[in-house]
Amino acid sequence: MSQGMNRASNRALLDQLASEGCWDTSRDDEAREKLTRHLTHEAPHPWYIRLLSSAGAWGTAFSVTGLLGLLGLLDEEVFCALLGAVTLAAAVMLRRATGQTHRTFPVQLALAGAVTGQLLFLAGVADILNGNGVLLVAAAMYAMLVVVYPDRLGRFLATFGFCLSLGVWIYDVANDVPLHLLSSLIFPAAVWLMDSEAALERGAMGEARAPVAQGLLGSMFGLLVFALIDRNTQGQLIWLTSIGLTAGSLFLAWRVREALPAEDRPGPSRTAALLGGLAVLGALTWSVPGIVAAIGALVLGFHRRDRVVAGAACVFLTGFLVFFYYDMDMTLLNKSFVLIASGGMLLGARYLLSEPEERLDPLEVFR
Amino acid sequence: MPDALNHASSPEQLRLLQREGMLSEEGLHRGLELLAETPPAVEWRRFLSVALLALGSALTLSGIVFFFAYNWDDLGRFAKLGMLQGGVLLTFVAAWRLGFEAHSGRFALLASSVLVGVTMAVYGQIYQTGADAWELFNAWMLLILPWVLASRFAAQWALWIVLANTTALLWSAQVLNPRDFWEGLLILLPVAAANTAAWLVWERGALKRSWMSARWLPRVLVCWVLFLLTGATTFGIFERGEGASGLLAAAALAVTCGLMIGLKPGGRRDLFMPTAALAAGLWAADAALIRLIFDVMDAELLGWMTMSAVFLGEAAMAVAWLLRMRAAEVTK
Repeated sequence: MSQGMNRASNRALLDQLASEGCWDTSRDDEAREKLTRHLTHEAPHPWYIRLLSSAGAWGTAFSVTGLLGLLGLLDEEVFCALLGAVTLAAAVMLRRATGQTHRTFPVQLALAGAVTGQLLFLAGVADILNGNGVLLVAAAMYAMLVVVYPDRLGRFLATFGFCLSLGVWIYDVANDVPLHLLSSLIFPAAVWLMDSEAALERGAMGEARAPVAQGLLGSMFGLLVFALIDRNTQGQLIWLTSIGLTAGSLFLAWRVREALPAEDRPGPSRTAALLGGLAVLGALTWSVPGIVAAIGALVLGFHRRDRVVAGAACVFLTGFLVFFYYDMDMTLLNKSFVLIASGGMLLGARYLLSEPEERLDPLEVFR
Repeated sequence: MPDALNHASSPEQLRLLQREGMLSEEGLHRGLELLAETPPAVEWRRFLSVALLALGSALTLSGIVFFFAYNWDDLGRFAKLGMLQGGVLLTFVAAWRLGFEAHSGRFALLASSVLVGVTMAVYGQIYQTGADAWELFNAWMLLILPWVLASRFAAQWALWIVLANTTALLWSAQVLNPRDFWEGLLILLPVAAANTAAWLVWERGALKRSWMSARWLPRVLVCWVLFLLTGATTFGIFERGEGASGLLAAAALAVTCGLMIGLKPGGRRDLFMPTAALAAGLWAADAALIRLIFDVMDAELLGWMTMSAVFLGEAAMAVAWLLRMRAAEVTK
């Protein structure tokens, strides 16, 4: 029904449902009319439009905050927190009232209001609590926003904010424990959310599943990049994160195998080669766990045909690989041998995984 | 006319059919199960094959580049050049025998093209030809052109475009040797124009050739053009000096954005293009407004008020316009 990164068409899906007695084909025209309306007025925006909208909201929030600061309204912390809370509540109500339609001005106003409200509220609370308590308040606020703010972009940003606040709080209270350890928990959570699509989409919070999973993966990559930037304080226990992420990727690979029809599953030797190869890769690149995490995210993106996840995974994989080889403590000559050996291993693995009839006899090339 | 039934399905669309009473609860559950099925084994094999080939080729080629960059003294000049020329020959023959339609053949030809450049760099390293860097890239670009034309492979074209841009920028810096920042800015404009022309040619070619239908290359090309022109315009706005270069960059940006918004190759529009054009255009307009209010008028309070409203209004209007374009694509 599907092809590559494209999901099944409505036509293919409804035909299959009709063949199973779950769809009445006489309603095709009615479905076409409703779906056309949905696609023109309600369907989720592509990622690049969401990015534009997000940039506009952050620009508005900073300008409004700058204006309020200039007027001296942010000097009183209680007022600042209250103003933020009221603005945030109003933004949530406006967004909920707007529903799923594309009335862009109220949607954009709600998003800008929500971001402004968060900034003001957290700035006020930070002054009042005068400690790391604001991080827990922020985590609670973002968790609440994931539930009550019915918008893909809003939920993505709230998930990101939740992970960031919780991570910094743990870092602060747990005696400088490295932030990257959280990625070992975040990755399985994202895998579960994306892998359980059919079950979760039936529930009341089904619409939150995809943006939360994408937000979790974005947070994971953010934490792993931060671990590379600040290696002095964040470099400890990196092996533990590598083990966690490799285990998560192995679990995902196993889940994908189990999701295939029994007759299509790779046999024991190929499964062992694939899983073993992934484990060896995780062990070899233990100092940069982002590599195995990005490979896991790439597999997850293809498994769920999620272009945003697969595309982001490709970008991060390239970045982590460049860092890994650049950071190796060896001469350029030795690095070149390691690179050629790793590349040769991957090309060899491709050759071994291909069907025998697809293989080209190396000697045949020159006959 | 595009048919909504031929559109890729989604959980939202299935839920809509259920809400409208067309699909039973049982039908929704089954539909969600079908939609969430993993790709079939044959697609997984293809995915793994391409991923391993791309990653394996990239790592091996990087290793070869590093190996020769190290300039190992124990290896004689004939051995170095012999190994590289052998590599070029080997990968080219492999590409020829595997065929340019196969992924493996295309990657082999790409490897051959990269090795041509490494050969030339090593030649310059051994014989100290004294040539400028732009000459190396220029010769590399010209030598691989026949392979690029024959390859029918977007990544091969991407390599060639990168080489062409590097040649142009290095030639500008090393031969034209701009006297100041403003002259440098003027040099960027023909580079941006050439890349815009390449994008237009690509869009036209994509109408007839399926291998050109992937969207990543034209999108990367326009992002590069917008980066050059928006950067030049922004510098023109904030830096005091001979304003003509900045004005020319702004005019070029306006024309490029107009093309990206207006162009609909084959009657179909890639919504990424107008989105990127609007983002770049709004960036430049906002920069001009900020300069005017905060710098020229020195009106800070008015500035914060105005920018709050402008950021909100422009984002809402841009999104509304883009969604109208998308709606027109679905319903026309």
